[in-house]
Amino acid sequence: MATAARPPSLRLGQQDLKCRTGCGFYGTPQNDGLCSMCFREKFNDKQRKLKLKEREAGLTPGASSSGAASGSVERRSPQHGHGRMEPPKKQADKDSENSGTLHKKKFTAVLQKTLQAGAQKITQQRGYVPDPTENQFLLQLRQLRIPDDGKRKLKLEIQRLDGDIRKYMNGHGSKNIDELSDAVQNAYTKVSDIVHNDPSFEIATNEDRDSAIDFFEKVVMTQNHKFLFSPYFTSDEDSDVKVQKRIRQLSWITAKHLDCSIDEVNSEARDLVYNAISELVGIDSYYSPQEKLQCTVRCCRHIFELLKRATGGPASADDFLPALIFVVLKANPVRLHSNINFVTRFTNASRVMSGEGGYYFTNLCSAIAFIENLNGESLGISSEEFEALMSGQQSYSTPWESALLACESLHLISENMKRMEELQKKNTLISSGLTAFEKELIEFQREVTERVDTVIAKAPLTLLPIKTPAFLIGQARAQLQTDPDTGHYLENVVGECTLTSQSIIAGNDALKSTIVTEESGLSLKDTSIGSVGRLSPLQQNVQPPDNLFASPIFNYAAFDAVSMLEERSSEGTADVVMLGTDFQGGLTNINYDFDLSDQSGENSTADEAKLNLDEFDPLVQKSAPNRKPPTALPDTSLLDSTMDSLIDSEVPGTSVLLPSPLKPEVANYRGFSNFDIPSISCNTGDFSSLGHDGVPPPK
Amino acid sequence: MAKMARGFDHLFKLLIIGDSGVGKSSLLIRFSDDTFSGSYITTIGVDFKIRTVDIGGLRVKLQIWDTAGQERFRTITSTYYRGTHGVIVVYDVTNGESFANVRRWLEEIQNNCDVVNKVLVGNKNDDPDRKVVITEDAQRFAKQMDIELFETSAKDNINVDEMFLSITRQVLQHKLRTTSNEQQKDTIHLKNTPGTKRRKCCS
Repeated sequence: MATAARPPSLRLGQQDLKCRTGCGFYGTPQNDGLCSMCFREKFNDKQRKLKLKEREAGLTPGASSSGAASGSVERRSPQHGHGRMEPPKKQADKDSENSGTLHKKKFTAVLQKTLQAGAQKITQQRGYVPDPTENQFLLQLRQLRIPDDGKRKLKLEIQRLDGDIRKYMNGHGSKNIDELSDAVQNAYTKVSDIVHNDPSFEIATNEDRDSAIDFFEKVVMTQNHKFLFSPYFTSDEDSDVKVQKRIRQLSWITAKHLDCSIDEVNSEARDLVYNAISELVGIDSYYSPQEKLQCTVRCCRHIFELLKRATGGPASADDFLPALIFVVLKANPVRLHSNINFVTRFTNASRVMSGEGGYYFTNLCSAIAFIENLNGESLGISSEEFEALMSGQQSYSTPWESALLACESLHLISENMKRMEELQKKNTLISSGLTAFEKELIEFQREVTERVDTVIAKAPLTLLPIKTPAFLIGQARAQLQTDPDTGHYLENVVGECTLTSQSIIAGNDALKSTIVTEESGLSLKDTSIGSVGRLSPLQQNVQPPDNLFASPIFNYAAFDAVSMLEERSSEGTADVVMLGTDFQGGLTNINYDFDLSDQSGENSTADEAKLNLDEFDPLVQKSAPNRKPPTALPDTSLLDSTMDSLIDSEVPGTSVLLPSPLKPEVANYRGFSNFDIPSISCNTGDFSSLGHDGVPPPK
Repeated sequence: MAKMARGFDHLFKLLIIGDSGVGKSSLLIRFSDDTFSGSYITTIGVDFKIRTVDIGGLRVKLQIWDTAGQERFRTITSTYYRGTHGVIVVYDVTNGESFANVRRWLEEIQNNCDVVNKVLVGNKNDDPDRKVVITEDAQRFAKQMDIELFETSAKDNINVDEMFLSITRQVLQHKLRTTSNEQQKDTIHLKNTPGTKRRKCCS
């Protein structure tokens, strides 16, 4: 059959595409090779004839079936080649006045000659082919699991609606698609009522009832598709043309314009898009609204599948709608509006308002509405650019289009361009990240330097000379004079660790009251400096004098003594020196107290407190050793060389060498006290114990 | 009622609207699958959500329509409202703009549907540090618009079920009220254009 149909179809010339009536317009296979005007005329004619025949025969039930039969022939015609040939023959016999008949007759004669062998078969099938759908429906009706009584009722309803639709279509009054739609919807409601409430359906399950309703809809819609689909009194066809043209104009739109995650280059994604497109295009090939909706659902499922792969999770409507729009744009389905309107008007209204099919159909409608109304703004481009692209002034190249139209290499270029674009994007991202990192590093460095600087500025590690206030010296001197034990002590101390003990005693006796109060603050400073001193390389310098004097006790003590001794020897003013060393060497804490009072500007207690805090700050501690050598070392030397005052000159050494009076050292010190070194005990500040602790050993 | 023998007593269509990125789909997925999309590989039916809930002994089947929230799609959303029983308006508590847009979404509902049950949802309510829409403000606004407010988190599954059940209850009550009203009138207008009635929005 198919093979028989193909050769002649190839031989059909331009002439055969024209309307058979010879009116000059093109005919369509759907209209038996007639143009729409001639077809309508003829159809009405035929209907009248049929009715006449029916009346003659007096068979009412046969009427609709024969009507349906002729309908189904026409319906099948686009799909079956021979169907295309068949009606002309029939028509030719009937309408001899047709101007194009001659040609057709000749043509069919040739065809019949060449196909003589298969002719028999064709004639056999001719009686069979006319109502395959009808037979199919009868078969399905038989398969419906509803009582026979119900089936009869259902069939009656189908025939009634069939008749109603035809009557309306053939009526001569003004026609309104909405009226027709209402009539059909009312019929659906009626059938639903019957199916759900009629006693003949009593035993049926709900599924069966539903399938009965679906069956009703499907049969009526399939049989009347040609009347109800894009009827001539609607503007559906115009809308179809308009939207098709618009989509063609919009062919430059890419997935990027729509912000959708479809990768136009990925072959897997493309396959899924093609699947979706073929389903979307397939909508037009179905007759009943249900099938059209199912087709839509399949299309949308493909899109969801695509999005799932693209985003790695379930897709949301935010992603779905742009993707659907993209698919519609790339598919450019035929008779889009006709199909949409057909479904909206003639499917069971609940079907498009609810359910999966309804949801996707609604999305499809939205997508079409978007396409019809979109402008530059909705695509994220300027209106000038939009206009230029729409009018074709601005050229464009999309990976999608190139794959469809252009040769392989061009597509490759396009693909590579897209890939390059992506790479470039990545590259800029990396380089910008690099710059940012570099900036951050510089900033970090600057910050660290700044912080260090501020810390240095706040707490400079300049080692200040210890200055003993004159009044204290005087006091001390007076004390020394009054205290008879001092001399004794002095000798003692010099023996072991020179003059340290003396200073301690002096401090003890003379400054008891004043020093004690300030000791806490001072001790803090001592701690810091002492610890810094211990960390600093200067500590090494301390060792020699230490060793020299074989004093394992305290560096500072030994050093103090040394410096003092040196100074004494050089200057010769033993008295002053002694007093100086007394304060400084023996009572470290006290010395610092003096120091404070002198350097009120630079070396205030507040600074000291901060310094102490910083001491525990790892950052500062790190930096402390770094800055110490340059500041501290010159200090020592400078002070030594430049300072006139003896007391001043002593200071650098002491301050650097001063060990912190931290607890361990106190313990140390105690240890020494056990070695009968009473003088040292003064360092503890435990003045009360001095009285009997310090004095007895020398004796 | 013939529908009694089905798997459900009532079928409601709910619509989720709100700005894009406020987590509409996440709420939907959380409710219908009780999973959050973060690490969830979907099986079937994720794209079209249906869940049956039990309210006061009645089985209510909910089909929830997700919508695209992008600004450019706002004009075409009217078709979604057909036959909708309830609308869930979602904003993001960490995004002030999405809250400001709620008013526009409510207007949209007003324009497209006569009677509709609504609920206001502040989603992503799981990180107090990022929250910018204060509960009190939202509450005041909800009161002013006469809508119930829920603050949910699809991520942490906070308040999601409660919210959906609340709107369902609202829709159900509305339906029961109107059907009883209709039954009273029905004695006179029993055959009053059954066809057109079906096509109306928001039954």
